[in-house]
Amino acid sequence: MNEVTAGGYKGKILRVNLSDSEFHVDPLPKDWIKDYIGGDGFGLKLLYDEVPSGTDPLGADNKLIVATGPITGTMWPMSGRTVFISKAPLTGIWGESHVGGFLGPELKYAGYDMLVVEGKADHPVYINIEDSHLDLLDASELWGTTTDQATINIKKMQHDPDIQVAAIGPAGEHQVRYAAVMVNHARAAGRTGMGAVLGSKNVKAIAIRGHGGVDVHDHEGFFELAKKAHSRVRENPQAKEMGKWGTWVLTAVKQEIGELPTYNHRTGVFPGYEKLTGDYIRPRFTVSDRACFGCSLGCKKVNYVQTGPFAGTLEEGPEYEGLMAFGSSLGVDDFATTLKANQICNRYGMDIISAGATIGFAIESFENGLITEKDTGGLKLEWGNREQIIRLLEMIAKREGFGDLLAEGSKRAADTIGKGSEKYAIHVKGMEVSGQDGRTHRSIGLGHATSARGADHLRSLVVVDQLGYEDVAIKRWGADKLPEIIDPYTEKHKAIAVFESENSYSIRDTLIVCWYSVSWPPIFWMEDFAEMLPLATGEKHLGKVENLVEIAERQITLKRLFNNREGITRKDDNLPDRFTKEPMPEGPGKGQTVNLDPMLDDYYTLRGWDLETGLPTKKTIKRLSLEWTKAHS
Amino acid sequence: MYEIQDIEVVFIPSHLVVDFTKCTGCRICELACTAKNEGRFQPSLARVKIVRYDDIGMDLPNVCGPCETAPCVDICPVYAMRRDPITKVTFLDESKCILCKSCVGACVNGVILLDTARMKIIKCDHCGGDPECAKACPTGAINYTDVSVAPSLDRHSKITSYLREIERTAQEASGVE
Ligand code: SF4
Ligand code: SF4
Ligand code: SF4
Repeated sequence: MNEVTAGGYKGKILRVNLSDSEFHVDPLPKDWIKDYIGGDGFGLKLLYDEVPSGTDPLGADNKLIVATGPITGTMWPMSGRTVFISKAPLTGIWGESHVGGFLGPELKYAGYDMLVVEGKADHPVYINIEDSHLDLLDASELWGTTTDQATINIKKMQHDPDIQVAAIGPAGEHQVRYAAVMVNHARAAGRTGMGAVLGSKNVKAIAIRGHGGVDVHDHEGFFELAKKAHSRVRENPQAKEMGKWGTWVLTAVKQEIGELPTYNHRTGVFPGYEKLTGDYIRPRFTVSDRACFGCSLGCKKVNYVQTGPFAGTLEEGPEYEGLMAFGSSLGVDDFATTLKANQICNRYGMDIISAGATIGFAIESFENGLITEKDTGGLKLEWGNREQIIRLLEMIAKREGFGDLLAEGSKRAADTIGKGSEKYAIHVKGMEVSGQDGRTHRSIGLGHATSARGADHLRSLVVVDQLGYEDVAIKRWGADKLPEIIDPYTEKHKAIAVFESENSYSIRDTLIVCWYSVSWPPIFWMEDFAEMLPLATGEKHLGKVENLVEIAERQITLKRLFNNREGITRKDDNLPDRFTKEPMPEGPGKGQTVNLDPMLDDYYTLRGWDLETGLPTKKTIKRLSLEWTKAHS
Repeated sequence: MYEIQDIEVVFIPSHLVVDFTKCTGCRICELACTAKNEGRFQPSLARVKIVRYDDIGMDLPNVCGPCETAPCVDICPVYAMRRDPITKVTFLDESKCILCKSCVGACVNGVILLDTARMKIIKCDHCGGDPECAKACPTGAINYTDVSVAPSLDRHSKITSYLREIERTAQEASGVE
C-alpha cells in the first residue's frame, strides 16, 4: 500500500500537458481523503482550484479530469464507474459526467487515482497509458472515425484487446456542445459536453492498460462485506427486475403517473407508450444481457432489429432516457427508431438526452412557424418522422447545414432564432431536461432547478415518491411525513427528500458506485457506505454517517460556489415555463404545475444558502471548512 | 469386486463448467479469484479470463478445463504440471517448475499466466475444491459441477445460440409488424 494515502487509493494523480507533451505524476494530497473521499469530490477540489471563473470551456485553459474513488477496481458491487469532470461546454458552469464500463478500474490498475488533461495539442493525438509507460501518440489516422472504430483500431495498433478506451466521435471533434465520451462502445459519459472538451484539445481518445492491483485496508473484512453486498443485490426483487428489463420498466410506470415526456414535454402521457415498454421490447429485440465492471445486476441489453427501415441494427441500449428522448418526446412509437438513434449517438459520440431535446425544440419551433424550410435547408420538421430524426442526428454530429445550429444545444439555438422560441427550449441553466416532469413528480422539479450541472435527473432524483416506495420513505424520513412525501403531486416535504437523496448520491459519486445500487432500486444507503469505507480505506472518520453527510454537504456547497463564481444565483435555479405555467394538459396529473419557490426556500434553508441570492452563507462556508475558497471575501 | 465397481460408479469428479450464454461480462469472477488467491484485486493475475466483445455484445468466460487430454500436462518438460489421477484436475507443482512457459502457450483456454513481477506461473488450482469464482458469479455462468451432468456448451454453441436469438427476435418482429 502507498504510504502517503489510505487503503484503496493509488496515491497518484497523473497529469498530461498537451501543449508541451509532458506527463507528470503528482502525489494525491492526503487531506483530500478526509474532506472529499474521491471521485467527484477530488475532481471538484481540483477544478475549483485550477480552473478560474471566466475560463473558456473549449479553450486550452480548461482542464478535463478523469477520476476514480477508493473502491474503484475492487469487488464492491457496481464500483467500476468513472467520472469525467470539466467546465462544461454546454452550460459554461460545473460539468461532470459519470459512466459505467471498465475504464476507471483500468486507470487504478495502471497506478493512478486520477488523470488530468491540460493544454491543447497542435494535432490530433491519443493518450496512451500502460502502467508507467506514458505516451502521446499521433491520432491523425483516427480523426474522423466513429467511437467504435477508434476503439477497435487502438486495440489493434497496441496489439492488446484488453485495453480500455475512452473515445470521442465526429461530434466531439466538431465540438458539438453536448458531445459525449464513449467507453466500451455503448457506455456514454454523455451529459454536459465532455466530448467537446476533448475535441477542443485535439484528443481523440484515452487508452489505458494496467497490470497492477488495488489493495484495500482490511482485505478479509472488505472481501466478506463485498460478498454479502453482492448477495443483497442478487436477492433484491427490484434489482432482479432491473436485470431483466433494464430501465425500460420505467416507461409504463411513468405513463401511469402521467410523467412520460411527450412532444417536447408538452404532455406526460403518450398513446404509443406500449411499444416502448420492456414487455414489448425484450421478447422481440433483445439478444443478450450485459453488465459493467463488478456488477451483479446487469441492466445492459443488446438489441437487434430485423425488419423495417433500420433492419440490421445491432446495438446495446437504449436506456429509458433514450426511449423517451427519441421515442415519446418526439412522438415516435417505435423501438427500432430509438435503437438506431441511440446507435448513431454512441458512434458519433453525442448525449442522447440533449440531442433528442434539441430536435424536439426544433420541431416545435417549426410547428409554430418560428423557423421555416429556409432555416432547415428544406427539411419539413415534424413529430414522429423516423428517418428525419436519424438524418438530423447525423447533421448535428457533423455540424452540417441546419445541424450546426442544433449542435449548440436548445438554449443557444433559441437565442439565435429569437422570436420567443426560448419557450420551446426545455432546459435549466442550458442543459436540456431529462425524462422527468416536475408537474407530475414534484421533487424532480426542485432537483432539475437546483442541480449543479443543470436539468439533471442523477444528482437528486427522488424515486420513493415517483414509484411509491412507502416502506423506504418511512425508514429514511419517518412515518410522520406520510402520505405527502410519497405523493408525487405535492410540494410538501419534497425539499427534505431532495436534500437527503442528494447527500447520499453525493457520497455515491465519490466512491464511485452506480446509481442503480443506491438510488433505484434502493439497495445501499449512507449506513452501508459508513460500514464499508473504513474497511476499504482504514479511515475511521469515514465510518460515521454524520461525517459522510458533512462531506456530502461540503461537496454540494462547493459545486454551488463553483457555479456562483460563474455568476449563478437563485434566479438561475428556475424551470422552463412549461412546468411552472402550463398545466399538465391531460392524463392522471391533468392540471398540475410546479410551484417552485416554496420548495426552493425549504431547500436553501436545509443547505444553509441565502434565501434571496442562493449563495452559501458565511456560516455555512465556515461550518463546511470552505473558507479557503475565499468566497465572500 | 463389487466394492470396486461401486467406487467407480459413485465417484463424480467436479470441474469448472461454463455456460457461455449466461455470462454478462461483469468480471466479478476475476475479482473474486484474485481476492482469494492474491489477497488483492488484480484481474491481470486472475486464473479465469473473461473475453469481452463490446462490438457485438458478447462475453466469453475462459476457465481451466474441462480438458480430456490436458495440453499443459503433455507439454511440461519436467512434469511440474500434473493431473490428479482421481479428480482429473491439473495442477502445478511450483517446486519443480523451471519457468519455461511452455504451458502458457499450450493452454487451450489461455488461462495459464506468467507473473512477471514475481516470476512464477499462475495457474488455477480449482481453489482446492471450493472455487471462489463459481460462488461469486451472479448469473450461474461458471459452475463447479460434474462434467457429465453439466450442459456441454462450448463457444460455438454460444455464438450459434446468439444467432438463433437474433433469428427468433426477427421472426417475432416480422410477426407483429
Ligand atoms: S490449464 Fe489449460 S490446458 Fe491445462 S487443463 Fe487447464 S484449460 Fe486445459
Ligand atoms: S477455481 Fe479458484 S483459482 Fe480457479 S479461476 Fe476460480 S477462483 Fe480462480
Ligand atoms: S462472474 Fe459470471 S457473469 Fe460475471 S464475467 Fe464472470 S462468468 Fe461472466
